[in-house]
Amino acid sequence: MIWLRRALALAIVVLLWQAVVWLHVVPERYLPSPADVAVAAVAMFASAEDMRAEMLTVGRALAGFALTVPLGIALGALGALVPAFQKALRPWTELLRPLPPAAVIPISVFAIGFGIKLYLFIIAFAGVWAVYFNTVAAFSGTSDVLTRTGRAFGCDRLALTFGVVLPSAMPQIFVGIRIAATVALIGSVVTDIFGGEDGLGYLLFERAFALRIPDVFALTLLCGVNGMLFNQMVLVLRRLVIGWHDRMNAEALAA
Amino acid sequence: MSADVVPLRTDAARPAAPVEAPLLAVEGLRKSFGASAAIEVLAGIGFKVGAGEFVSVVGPSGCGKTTLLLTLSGLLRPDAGDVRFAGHSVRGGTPAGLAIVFQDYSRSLFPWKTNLGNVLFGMRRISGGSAAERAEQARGLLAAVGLSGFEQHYPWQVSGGMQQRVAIARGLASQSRLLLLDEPLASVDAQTRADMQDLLLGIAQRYGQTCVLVTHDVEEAVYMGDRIVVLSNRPTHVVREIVVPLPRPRDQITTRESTDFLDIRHEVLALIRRERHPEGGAGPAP
Repeated sequence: MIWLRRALALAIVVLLWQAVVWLHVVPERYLPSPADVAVAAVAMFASAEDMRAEMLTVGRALAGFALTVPLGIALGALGALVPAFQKALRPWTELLRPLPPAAVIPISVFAIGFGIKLYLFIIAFAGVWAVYFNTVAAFSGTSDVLTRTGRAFGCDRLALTFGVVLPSAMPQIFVGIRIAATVALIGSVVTDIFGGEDGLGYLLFERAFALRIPDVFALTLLCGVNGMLFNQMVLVLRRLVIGWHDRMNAEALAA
Repeated sequence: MSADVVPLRTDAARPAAPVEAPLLAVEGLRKSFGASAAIEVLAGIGFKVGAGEFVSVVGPSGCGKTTLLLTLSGLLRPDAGDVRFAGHSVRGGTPAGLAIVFQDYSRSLFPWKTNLGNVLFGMRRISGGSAAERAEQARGLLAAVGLSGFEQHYPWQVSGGMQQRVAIARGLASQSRLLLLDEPLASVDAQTRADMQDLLLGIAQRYGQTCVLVTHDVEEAVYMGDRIVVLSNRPTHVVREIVVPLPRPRDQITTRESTDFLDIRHEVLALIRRERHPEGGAGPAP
């Protein structure tokens, strides 16, 4: 049912798009028809060069995401458990968090050069805040009853952190993880564009400068599809890690 | 009641009936909160609990029962005084062998663990035994509290009374000798409450548990206890200790109808009313 509705919504947009093309609102060489884009997309999936770019962009985003999540949780845990650390970090977090990842690329290139290091740095920089702040909030908001229970059964600080506080914080941390997943893809493509020599972002601008407009549309759509896939990945991860939480909420609603 | 026991007139100033090598010894416990210790909650509490005893602690609302319980379990450090469990101070944290069943049981169970997982958490300080053996033990404890068949349920999938029983099984799983019960039945319905009282008494007997039950329910305190420690208003001290000579096993109908039960209930209620309305007799009948 939901898929039918989504397919219908997509079909309506494609129809409107086709209508705009027929009415010549935008010159045809800048706005290709859905059919032209479909042809370009088929060619894109068949092209080894394009698929290599896709693998690179997605692979780097995944690597960056895999780095960002534990880093954000570790920093957040440190921030929540050691208030001095959080205070010392605060002016920096306030200053650095609003920076767009693209704006950080020049100084990052000077500092660490090009290549995978640059990608990992930009992706982690862009995504770590969401995980960090959610972890700090979740750790600080752990119910006294839970920590007392842990201590009453002999948990030391370490056991309490990993056995009680972290699992109870996971639902909120996942809010940050979901943002970090989207941001990882954005960071990967942006780094392709401004600091890379391959990948989807690089290819996108190369084709744009060559005025291969249907290719540009197809690559842009592919970026969107990647985003959907990442979202699905996080949902699967979520079900594995905090499936109990979603089922608890679902049952509370049903009751 | 035998003639040589004079339970109704135990003087607070006189030490309670001496207990041989008490399992829990509380001495001069003081605790204040707030800026410059403005709010004095515990003002020198002392009592003893012998091995195998069931001691009820009652007091007027807001007298710091939960503060007392947290201090007894070593989760809260007193400003002065000491709590000794089996001869050792609890200052270093809750000792093995002492289990606490929290008032807020629904939030003290881990929602990410099944009932079985929660009971297994109770065994975390117990070494030895394969995973299968430990699970078998945990299943046995769940069965003892009447929860066979609910091992794989999550706490949030079962009723409040069942959650409380999981919490009790988790306490027992730590091979506890002393159960500290913080108003464990405060939020279950009356019928469940009566059943749970009998279940707790049965469990205490079967597993050789010494129990300290903190409650605001006077009838429950009398029904469950071998002895009642009556607390004053804040700043809290012990007003009186009353021995409950009612025979065991107790019975929800006959015990509660006996003259001894009613006499002790009367005495405790009168003490608590006096604490709540110290100006004398102005308060409503309890």
